[in-house]
Amino acid sequence: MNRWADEKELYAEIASYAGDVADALCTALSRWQSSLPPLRDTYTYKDIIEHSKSSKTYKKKWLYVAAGIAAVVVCGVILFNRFVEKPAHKPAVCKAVVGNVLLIRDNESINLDSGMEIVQSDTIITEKKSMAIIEIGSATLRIDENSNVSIHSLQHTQVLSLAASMDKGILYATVQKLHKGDSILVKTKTAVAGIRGTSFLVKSDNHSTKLVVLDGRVLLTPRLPDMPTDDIPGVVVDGGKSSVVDIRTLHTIQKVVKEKKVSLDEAIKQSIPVSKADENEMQVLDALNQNVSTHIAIDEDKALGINDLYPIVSIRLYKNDLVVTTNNGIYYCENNLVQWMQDYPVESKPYIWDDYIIFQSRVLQALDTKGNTKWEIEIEGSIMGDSIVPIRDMLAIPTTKGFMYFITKNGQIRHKVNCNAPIVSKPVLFGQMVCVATADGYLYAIDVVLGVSIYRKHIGTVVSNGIFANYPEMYIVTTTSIEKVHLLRDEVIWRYNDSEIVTAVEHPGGILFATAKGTLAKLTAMGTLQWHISLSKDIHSLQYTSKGIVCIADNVFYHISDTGEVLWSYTLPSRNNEILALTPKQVYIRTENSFIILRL
Amino acid sequence: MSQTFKALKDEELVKCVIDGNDHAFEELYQRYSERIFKLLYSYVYNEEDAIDLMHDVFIRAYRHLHRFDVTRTFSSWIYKIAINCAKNHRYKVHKTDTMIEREEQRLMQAEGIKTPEDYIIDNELTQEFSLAVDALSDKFREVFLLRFGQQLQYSDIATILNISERTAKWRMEKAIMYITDFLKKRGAI
Repeated sequence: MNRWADEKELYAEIASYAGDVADALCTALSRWQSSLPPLRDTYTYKDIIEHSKSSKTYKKKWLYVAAGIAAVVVCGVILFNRFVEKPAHKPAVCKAVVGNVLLIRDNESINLDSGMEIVQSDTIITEKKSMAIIEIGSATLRIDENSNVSIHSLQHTQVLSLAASMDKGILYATVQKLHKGDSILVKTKTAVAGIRGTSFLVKSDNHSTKLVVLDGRVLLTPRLPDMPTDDIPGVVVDGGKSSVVDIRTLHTIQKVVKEKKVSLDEAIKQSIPVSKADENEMQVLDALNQNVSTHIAIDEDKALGINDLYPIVSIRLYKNDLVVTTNNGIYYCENNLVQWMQDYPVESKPYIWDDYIIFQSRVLQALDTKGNTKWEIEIEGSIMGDSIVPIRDMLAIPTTKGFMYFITKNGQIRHKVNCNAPIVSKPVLFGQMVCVATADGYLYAIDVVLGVSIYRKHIGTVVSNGIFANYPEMYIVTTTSIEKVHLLRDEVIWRYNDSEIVTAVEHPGGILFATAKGTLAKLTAMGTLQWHISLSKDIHSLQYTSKGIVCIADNVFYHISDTGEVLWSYTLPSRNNEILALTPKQVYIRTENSFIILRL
Repeated sequence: MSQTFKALKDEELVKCVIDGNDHAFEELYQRYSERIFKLLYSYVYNEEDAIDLMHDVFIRAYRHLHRFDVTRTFSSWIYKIAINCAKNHRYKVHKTDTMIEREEQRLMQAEGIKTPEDYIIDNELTQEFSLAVDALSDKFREVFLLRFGQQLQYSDIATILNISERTAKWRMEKAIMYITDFLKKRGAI
């Protein structure tokens, strides 16, 4: 540190941001800086030190007086507590639910939802790929999938007291600021874990209990038949360590004690070894800890979920997680909850390249899945929508300034090719070449290895609906025609004319296209119309997956078979919808004011 | 004060203070008091409050020097303390200081009634600029004050605020754009 920026540097920065009013702003800034008053010699460093030290002496001096007052106050408080109820802790509340989570209350089963209060005798059952987060005072419990947790006792009026049992499943707990008298116990079939100021994970099934402690200390007590848990000594598991209690452990303890070989305390210590926790488990636990704390930190009242992000501009899938962009930033969501965000404008739809998230925000940059910047590079022009394409070990990135960039994984520009006009099509790999169309009506073929344009042809009209390669042939789709050309022979194989083609995608054995009149049709590779159907006008978001064709027309989502039959449709709540992402199982749709996931 | 201290780095001075040499703290105080004061003043716009807060910042720093991780930079540590103190102060003041009262204070200045702010706001442009900075939301104001009030590098700002350098730059750009709009709308530029 201590390398201060000089005025010249600061003013240059203002000039770059403020444009034509930069001079006026610099003047204002200069006056503002000089208007800040100088420090008067009110205090010296000696005052600070004396104050720091004297306040300690002061404390000592008054300690006896304070002790006397404290004694009186304590007596008062004790008397007061006898007659007046203490202010209540916050009730237990469900903060977030993912998937299907059931709440069993008074023998009735209802769906658990965020905001619902949890009371004594409730049982929470999470189904596969489901999760619930419960907040009880300063404790947060995360109940993972396939778990069954019963709340045996829950008190939050005077002290916080929770006893829960978990027959099977995974429970993650993070506890802060427990006060005297507060207690949280998690019982499984084989053990009891007592939480105090810690973060830990309990995995349990009918036969065993595994405890992994991230930080703090947890007392793990085996549950021996016919013996109250309070009478059984436990083992202390410290942060970074783990321990397992299973049925065999319980039998061993009982056997050893029965044979009077050693004391119960000794038998437990011998039978329940505490070992260093597995690195992977600790990483998972740490991630869970960050997960819980992140969504609490973002909004104390409500976890920030994907539905809170608006307006969503794009969604990308990374394993089971989502990378979401809005006008304000980029968000990484796990289980539909935001894990981290970077609040700068994202100007292009991101592309996920292995574990890198590549996007443009003034500069082209790569983040890792933890949100750390891996590299940043300057490129000329903006990246059009969804047009980043992987080509071998590089990314092909076209820009509106007419440049085609080839970027390596470590952020190096391997080639930069000038196409002389804004690139309007997504690049397609064509043999050893990458082809793109430009706004001035040209088609370019660029050699990937050499990074030079080796073919340039004027095709007369702007390729507004994309080019699709099927080496050595290619489909070129404009607003009024679809052409199949043999690029190497430079000849048109066939041409299909239609009015107002609005969108097109490749389809096995041909090409799908939609018109402004609401027709969706398929052309075969031979140029014949295989089928056509009429949908509402304004067909968009046309995509193809192994499960069939999807699109939105007006405000209706359609799932269509490969032979042109509408399998089912779904009326969306508003217009201005868009399919943001598609998997063989699900489709992610943004509507005007919400976000919908439909199963295919 | 010994010339020896002047040659030492901040973190070396901290070690000396921990070892019991209070004169090393004098050097740290001299290096940072003026800067910390100006940063705090930019938050509270009251000289007395800024001095008291600065006093508080250095007391906290002195008391907790033993907790300072000498492998990190002292400056980012003390700036963090200062920003926390300033935020706490703002939070307390906001509970009682309503927008109306603040506007009244501003009008009083315009009418020539001396307030502490009169010492610094000596013309309309500066006054409007101060209002623009004050109107920035916390996250933008922090970056602005550290960059243009303290002339810190973005790498240091990122460390102090625990954000990425890129985020700091973006916030700076937004802050400048907001101030520009604010001043344009009010006809100040």
